Amino acid sequence: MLLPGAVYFLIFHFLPMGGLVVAFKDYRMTEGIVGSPWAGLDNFRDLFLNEQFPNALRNTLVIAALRLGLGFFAPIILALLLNELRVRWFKRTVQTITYLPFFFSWVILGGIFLMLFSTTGPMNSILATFGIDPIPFLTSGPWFITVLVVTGIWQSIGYGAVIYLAALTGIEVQLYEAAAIDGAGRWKQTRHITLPGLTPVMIVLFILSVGQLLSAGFDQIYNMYNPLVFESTDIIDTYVLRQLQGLDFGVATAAGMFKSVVGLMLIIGTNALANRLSGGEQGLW
Amino acid sequence: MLNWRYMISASGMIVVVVAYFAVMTPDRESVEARALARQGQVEWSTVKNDPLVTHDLVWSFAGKAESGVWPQRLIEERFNIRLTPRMIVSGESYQTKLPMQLAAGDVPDVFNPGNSTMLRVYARHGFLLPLPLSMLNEHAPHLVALVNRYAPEAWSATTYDGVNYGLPTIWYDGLHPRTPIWRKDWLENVGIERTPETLEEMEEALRRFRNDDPDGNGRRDTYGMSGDLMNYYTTFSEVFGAYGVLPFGWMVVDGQVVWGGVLPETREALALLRRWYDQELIHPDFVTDRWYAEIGRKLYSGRIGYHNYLASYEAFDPDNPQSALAMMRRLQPEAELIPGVPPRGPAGRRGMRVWGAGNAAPVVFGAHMADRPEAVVRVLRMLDEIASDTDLYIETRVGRHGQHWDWADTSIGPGSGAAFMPPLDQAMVREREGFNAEIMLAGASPFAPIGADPDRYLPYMPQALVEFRERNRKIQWGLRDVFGSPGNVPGVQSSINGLIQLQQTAFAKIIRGEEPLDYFNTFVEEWHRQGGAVGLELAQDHWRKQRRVLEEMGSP
Amino acid sequence: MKRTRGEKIFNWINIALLVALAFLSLYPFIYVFSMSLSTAAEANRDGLHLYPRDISFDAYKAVFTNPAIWIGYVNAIFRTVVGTALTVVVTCLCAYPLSKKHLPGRRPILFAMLITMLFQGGLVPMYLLINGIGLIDSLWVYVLPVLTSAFNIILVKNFFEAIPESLEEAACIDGAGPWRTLFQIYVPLSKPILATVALWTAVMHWNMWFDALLYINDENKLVLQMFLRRIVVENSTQLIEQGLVNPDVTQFTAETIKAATVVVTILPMLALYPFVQRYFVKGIMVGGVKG
Repeated sequence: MLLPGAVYFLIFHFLPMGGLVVAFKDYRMTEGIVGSPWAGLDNFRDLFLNEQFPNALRNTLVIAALRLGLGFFAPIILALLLNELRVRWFKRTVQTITYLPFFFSWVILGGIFLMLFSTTGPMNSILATFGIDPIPFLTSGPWFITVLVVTGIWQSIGYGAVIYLAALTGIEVQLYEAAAIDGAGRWKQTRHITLPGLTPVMIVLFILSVGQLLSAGFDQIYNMYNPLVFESTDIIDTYVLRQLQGLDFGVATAAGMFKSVVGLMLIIGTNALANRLSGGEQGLW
Repeated sequence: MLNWRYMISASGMIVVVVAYFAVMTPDRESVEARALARQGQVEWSTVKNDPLVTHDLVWSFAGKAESGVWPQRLIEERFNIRLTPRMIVSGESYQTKLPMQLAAGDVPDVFNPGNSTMLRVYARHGFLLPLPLSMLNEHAPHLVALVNRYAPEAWSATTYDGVNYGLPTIWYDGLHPRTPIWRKDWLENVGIERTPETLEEMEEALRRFRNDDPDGNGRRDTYGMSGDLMNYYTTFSEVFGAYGVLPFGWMVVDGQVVWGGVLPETREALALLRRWYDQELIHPDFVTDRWYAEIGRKLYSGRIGYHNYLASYEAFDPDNPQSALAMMRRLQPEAELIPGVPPRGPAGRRGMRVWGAGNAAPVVFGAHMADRPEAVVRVLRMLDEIASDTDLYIETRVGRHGQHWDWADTSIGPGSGAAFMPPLDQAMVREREGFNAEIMLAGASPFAPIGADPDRYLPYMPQALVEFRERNRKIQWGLRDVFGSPGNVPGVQSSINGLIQLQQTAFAKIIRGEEPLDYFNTFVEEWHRQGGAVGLELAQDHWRKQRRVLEEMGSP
Repeated sequence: MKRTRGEKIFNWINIALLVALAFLSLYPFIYVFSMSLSTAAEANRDGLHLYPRDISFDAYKAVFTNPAIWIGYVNAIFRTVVGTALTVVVTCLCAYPLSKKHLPGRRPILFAMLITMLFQGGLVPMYLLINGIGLIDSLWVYVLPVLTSAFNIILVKNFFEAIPESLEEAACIDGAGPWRTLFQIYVPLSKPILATVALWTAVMHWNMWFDALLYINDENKLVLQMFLRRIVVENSTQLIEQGLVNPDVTQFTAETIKAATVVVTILPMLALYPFVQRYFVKGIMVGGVKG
């Protein structure tokens, strides 16, 4: 049964993975991956020893940690709230609509948000009617990162909630009935039945998403940033792109490898933690 | 938990994969290509052009042209060649797909590398055939003369490591600046009769746009102008130009190459912009606005009365529903637009950034063509003949008079401009049929990639358009980078984008008053420290080399 | 079921919250939709564009008379349908053995799969591979390289693990082999998670364009998203900043046509969701187990 999967992973994943050696090479396309001369750690040196790198790394961690910290729980909360709805058509409609933003690329959304959050835009007009001074949503670093994180969560919340809705269906109705008979209210039922029911999925998704910690959402930033926030939104991806005008595959591969290694270590660590806390039950392996 | 067994099986698997990969990589062909490129030294003087020999060529240019279309057959018959067209459709493909195809050993015989940065990349990787200048001079004298005349800087974009790899193509329109545009009715409403000519007049007009309620709605909701800080080629270009500065570009001052962004004049321009922003003449959103989207929208919606990067003949055509004027009138029926001029500064200078005529994509040959120098010579001679024969030039681009195109107004004839006949009047059809995408004749043509020579095409353009350009987009107002664009200096590619961003941020902070004007000095120091000082030396050196090349090419 | 007062208040707050979220989520669609129905001039008006004004169908006319759109539709539907079906099958086939704790080498296999999630070879090796096995300009290039993923397999595997062993033992006694057990017991019981995987896969297929850009030269094999990409991104700042596009020679596509293309691309996915949604309705699992 494993055969189709094994063949697939071997051909389309492990085979091209040999290309990772490019990170240690002075890659020349005409000489091929194998034939190019070795460059030792030169590519990594170019990557790490630039004075802009520490800032890029810090920004990446800040933005990604915020995304992970808040973005991870948002779909769970949405799923729980949806679960509380009793009117079926309403539930379905909200569900459908919240997953809609996922289909818009950031090129489109970026333009819309620049319009909404500009100094004289609708967001600030609304605030003005409450007598609040204009907020520099786009031009102050902390505010801009807030906008990035919030709109990022907004975009993927409905999409992410789908898995939890699926998991909710796996919780046996009898448990709720028994709890109701024992006099447990909705809140208690949620805390003692629903949440524990979701925990396994949550742990798996959390472990997997920790691996993405060094990916801070390039597309979104690229389509929304401006000179005043260059410094606070310069992430590893934008930093690498800036250096890459000469199509330097070596440095690009080195950067990718760095991100992957960090991701892998984080996953292994989180998994070990999950295993220890749950006595070997909840980890991925 | 992990243990050693998993580690061994994982690393064992990777070893197997690497070994397998070494066998699988289809690199043999490209290794050959590289070897040839090293030999590269074709004895060009002995290469003869035998018109009776048919040459087969894999032909890869930008466009959607299908195989066997009319322009292709035209040049195939006339020049005894056979083409296998492999058109590359989009700009993104040039950046991502073309390098992959080349890496897989699939190098076209004749192609367009996309732009000068990519040309240097491909040259570095050994994909391109060196084209000695003397050889180009011998087989393509007209084209060389064109480049020398309109865009001598283009040779620096086709040179890598002292060797020339490409034949630049000329895009004449790039010499004409996009001049500013004013709301004429607003100017009248605030009592200004004459379109502003100087910085003072411009400031006065902007101030009245802000304070004197030009739209008469009783609210103080209009601004003078906005700006675009993200696209450096438009960033307050006319204001810096009034001080004689190209803020994001290499300039030559007293025989020395300098970077425009760190000059004392730049500081003066920033001081002015800072005052304008403080007096609310500049829209508060100028940092996030982009010229083709938000700024255009602000103009059309009557929020600002000035735009520095819109003026072209088409913008003022009320009959074209896509024109700036027509769109604007639908939203603001009373709107009138008038082209302006770049304002004259304190020292009497004026100017706007232009791309120059040499920024179009060059023509290059695959390194393996060292094997077939006769075919290279045939193509060069063909391109040169197209460039020097007006009828042929026009036919390769827009086809035959009466069959593919006719005069827009047949009662006037020449002077009304050439217009495609149906069904070629639809862009989709004409791209498929291999004709030039634009009736303007200025864009590249997939089967005659030689750029646009004004002596050939101007008679086929609407006279009104030509006159508009001569009157409102004067070539002498154009300020251009001495190397074509900031990244064209070898060795600065990895630092130049960071430096430009540093400068954009500093400019934004200074203009918005977040930092004092003296912050400019801090920025200049920082700019030098983060690679600008090295960049200046590289640029100086490159300038000297370019001068030598130009002398060799017989350019003034 | 009787509700306390607190629960009733919560219920109303909940409804209000979700309505607000729904509006915020709907807004970009409203914006794009009203743009697509406007004249080019109207699209340039400053404002929220909550409803179309100065209505015009020109943008849709332009979009639908472009034969490329229809080609894109056909290919996108092909890759989404075939790709999703194959993904679900292959994912089940991989997840089932891996859900068995006694499978020899289970942990190394899981770990190796995890590695594929993080480490990718990069563009060049992938292109060489696709080129080497002759998938350039083949429709299968849309399906095979994304046949399944470690992420999907792990999710489904975990769901399988939660199914009581007793069911499998019972099936075994009835003489069912592993294939029958998988497809007659595990798959029907796992409909919600398989629906999730199918939905995510379908959405991924529908949204993918990068493989079309890289591996497809034949205009007749491009997918819808690639055309959308050309229309929306080609002349954008990203390319201008990288010097790939000269803004002075490119004609910017009208905002209305961009908007109409976006709407046309999104609608099919919107139509798909309600069909998948019924698998997320509570109770299916319970009924299944109790049988």
